[in-house]
Amino acid sequence: MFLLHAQNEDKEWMEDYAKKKRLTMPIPMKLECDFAGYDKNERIKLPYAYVISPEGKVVWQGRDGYEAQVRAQVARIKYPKLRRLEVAPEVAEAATAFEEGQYASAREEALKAKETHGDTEGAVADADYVLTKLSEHLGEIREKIDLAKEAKRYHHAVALLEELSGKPYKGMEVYDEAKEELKVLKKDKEIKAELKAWEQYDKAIEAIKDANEEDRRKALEKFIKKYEGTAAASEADWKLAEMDFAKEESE
Amino acid sequence: MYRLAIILLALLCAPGLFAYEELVGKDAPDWSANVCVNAPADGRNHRDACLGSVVLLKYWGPN
Repeated sequence: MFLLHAQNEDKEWMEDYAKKKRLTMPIPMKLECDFAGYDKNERIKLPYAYVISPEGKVVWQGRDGYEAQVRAQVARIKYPKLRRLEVAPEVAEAATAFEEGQYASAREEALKAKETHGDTEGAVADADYVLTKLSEHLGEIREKIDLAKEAKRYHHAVALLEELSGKPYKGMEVYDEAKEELKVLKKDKEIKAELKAWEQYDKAIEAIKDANEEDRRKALEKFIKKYEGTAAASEADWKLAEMDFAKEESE
Repeated sequence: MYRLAIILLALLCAPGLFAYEELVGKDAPDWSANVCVNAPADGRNHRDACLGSVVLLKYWGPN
């Protein structure tokens, strides 16, 4: 869903508004984006909506009542993770495994389909599509791991590596690599200390979630002192800064 | 007579002037949400990148 902002407020104002109202969907700023094809003569009066099908056709437009059409269109997508309405029958097992998060099976089935039905153009293309999506999926996880390590958020990196060394990936190269990487991470002294700090940080945050502002502040300051120099302490520092900012805003 | 002709012409043109363009059944015009609050993390912020998914474009304003 794209909530197309079609009034005069600027992006900064809109960012504050979205934060306050907890709006998490993308909100393009119409005046700075290109949606001209939908309202060439600027006639649209709010609210107004368009529903676009998975094939890229406009299937509904109007002021209200889009929900049923959205539901009907979503129901047509048999393989939502792959973003495909259908695949060649020879590749159905690979596609289903992918949807179920059984990535090693998806790979195995896609390769089998290519080998067995190499003379069927559609089957080969769809099997390659599944393999491409799989490679993209693994690439995304790898990127997240690297970013987490760079930011010393080792608890995130460990969680992702544990996911990769789980059953859905067993038999793939990444499975063995993740296991090895986990071993190395968990042996490192500095990383061990960071992991401990993150563990304590999560506990501290949980413990102060219903506390008053003064107690929260005290707990965070105590944490920062105890785990000084760790990424978790920096995070706690940010939390304090956020509290200061919120206080200033409310005054 | 001249006035009447102008009024008739205005009445004939009025629906065209105020009606929204009918896009149902047509290929969705290209769109690009390059300036966006809560920008999609996966970079799917234009028409072609959203193929395979259902898209709801809702014109909206907070006030």
